[in-house]
Amino acid sequence: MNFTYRPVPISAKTAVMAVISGLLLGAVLIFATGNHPAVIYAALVRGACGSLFALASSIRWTVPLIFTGTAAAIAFKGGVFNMGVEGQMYVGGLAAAVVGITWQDLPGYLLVPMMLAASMAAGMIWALPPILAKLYYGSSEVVPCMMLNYIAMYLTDYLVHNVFLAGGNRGATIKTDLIASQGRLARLIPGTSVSTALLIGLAIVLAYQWVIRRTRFGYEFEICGINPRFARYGGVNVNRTRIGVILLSGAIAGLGGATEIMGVRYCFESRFVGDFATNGILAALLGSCSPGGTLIGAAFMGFLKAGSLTVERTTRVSRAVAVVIQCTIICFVSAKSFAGVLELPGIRLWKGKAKEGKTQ
Amino acid sequence: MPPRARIQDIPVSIQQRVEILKALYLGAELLIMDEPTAVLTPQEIVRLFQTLVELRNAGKSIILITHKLNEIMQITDEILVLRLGKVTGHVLTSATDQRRIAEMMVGRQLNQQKEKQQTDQTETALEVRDLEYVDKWGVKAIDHLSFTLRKGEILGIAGVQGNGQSELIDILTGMVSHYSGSVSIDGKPVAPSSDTRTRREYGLGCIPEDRQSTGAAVGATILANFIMAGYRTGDFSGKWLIHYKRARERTWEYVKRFTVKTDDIMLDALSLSGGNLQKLIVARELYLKPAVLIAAQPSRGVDIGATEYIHDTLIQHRNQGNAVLLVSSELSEIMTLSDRILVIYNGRFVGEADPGTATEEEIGLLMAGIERRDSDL
Repeated sequence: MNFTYRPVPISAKTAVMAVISGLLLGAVLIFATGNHPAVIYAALVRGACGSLFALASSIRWTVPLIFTGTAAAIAFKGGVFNMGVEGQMYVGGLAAAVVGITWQDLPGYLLVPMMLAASMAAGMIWALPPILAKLYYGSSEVVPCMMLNYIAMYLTDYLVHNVFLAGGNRGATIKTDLIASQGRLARLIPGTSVSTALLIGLAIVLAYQWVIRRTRFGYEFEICGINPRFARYGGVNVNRTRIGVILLSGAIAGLGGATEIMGVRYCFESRFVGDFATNGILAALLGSCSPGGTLIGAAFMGFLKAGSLTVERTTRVSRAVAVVIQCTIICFVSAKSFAGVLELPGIRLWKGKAKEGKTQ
Repeated sequence: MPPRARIQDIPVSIQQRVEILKALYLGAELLIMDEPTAVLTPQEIVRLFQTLVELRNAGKSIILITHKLNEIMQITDEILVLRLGKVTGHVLTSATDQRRIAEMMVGRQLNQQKEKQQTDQTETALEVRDLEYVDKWGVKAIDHLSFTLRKGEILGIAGVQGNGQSELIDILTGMVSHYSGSVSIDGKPVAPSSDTRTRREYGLGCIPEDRQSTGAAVGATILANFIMAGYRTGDFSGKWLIHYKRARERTWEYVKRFTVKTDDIMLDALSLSGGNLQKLIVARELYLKPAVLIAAQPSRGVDIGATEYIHDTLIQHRNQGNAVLLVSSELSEIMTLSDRILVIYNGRFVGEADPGTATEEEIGLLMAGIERRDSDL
């Protein structure tokens, strides 16, 4: 069995219509729970961008998704279904935390790069077995990736619990000691969780854009994702390219784990990944796996998350409804044919891909 | 037939019989069989044909789709010949022979030979010795094939489709590696394990027979499709980077020179018609001026204008001192372009012909797998 995945471009109007459809269906749901949609949506918007603090909260939830989203997008674009972002994030996070705890005395300009490098290396190591299994034994990469997620989750728990458990009262839950203060990422907005991780994330997106727009490797892996047979016929070593793609993807996922720990939590906490990996994959799919699209997708998911947290805090509607709306929107985006029915003629936010029929 | 055996455990011929039984059980009056003998041994074919004759005698109708002429002659009552989606012949089997069927399959009229310059044909461009290849069904698709292609020459490989041509191309381009025999490109020997990239670097270009799945990446831009041949070694290629500004200029230059009709090279290659996509592929493969160019069915599904243009291009490439291996099941195309013709049948070369003197009967006989007797020569 061989899973091949090819990102299909989603036009801007499809995305917009899907969001509107999701919000409309969400309104019905909110009505059903005995609330007024306007009130809930107002709370949602307020929580996502109503104040500097709300905006910071949205950005805080967006940043990890930039990493996981870009990691997923690169893999999908190269024709590899990296479902192991979650595990790669866990091992990356733990590697960074261990380095940050062990070398307390190193200056920041050494420690921070070391932590980032350790997380990338760990992510790469975690990404490698599934692709090797696929290339050399013909198995699908999806199952090993997902199993490695569980292994990473429980193995990091085990390691933290038995080796790196925090001393004193902090050891009541599964988390490590705090990382050295010079190993933490600086706050961009004081008093919030927005750190320079955002800048690293944006740099990754720009680098991704540069790789596919300028480099030979970027060309190779995009073509491998679109038509591997054509790539091979044209002289591309498809297997080697795919290994490169998943290593890159794993490194970025690992980096996402590191920045979450270095910028927000300052220690490795059990299950810190939460829904970052899943939402990142969704952000990549929403953004057709393009750099900009994935960034927009990540921001969309991040803002929705921040907004829904506020909905839960300030209204009687539970966050579950916000999650339902979020999922409804994603369903509408993926159900392209249905979204296509809703598409209004003539709405084009930016130049979409031409889909013209054959012309003689 | 053991009723409890799993399908995967029984031989292909029995699997096929299960399929026939199923159709009969469901009350089929008309049985359509698409290349039923492709995976069968000669003995199994005999048994299959016995079954088919029994079915016919029992009043069933059978449509047998095949490219094997001897089978057609052996078992059918009536023959319909299709070529490029058109019916080119409808005859009673008793009133025809293999040679005439072969003619209907490959086109009857022999076009005028194209004007060609004299070229120096002393140097070897492609050397193939004792090629053997067994496909995934265990059928010997290529059987001791040897030939030499010289520079400044178009060597036509004629044959009814499915006689080993696709396998030969896959071997030469490096798409399959489990073959035996020796191949050398432009004087440089290539091992079976050497990949498509190495072979291209040695000077091999290929216009593949399947342009949608192999020759192009539909879903990528025209630009991305064009730069495939040259992104490593072309003049828009850096060590790590692709100079897209120059790549765009070069793509436009070739798109115009090869009269590929398009408004924008950033459009999906899908927006091109079949003929224009083929011209784009030809343009791409010629961009690096390969010493050996394989052109497989270069005019299939292409309109007359584009066909003419592609033919002229191939001759021009030859005139510049390069070698062209033309693989085609269109006899007229082979006759028009080739300096020399080899006829392939069942994975073997069964004869060589000179397009200047050979007659259609002669080549038709060879294509049908009827060996020439010495007295015919």
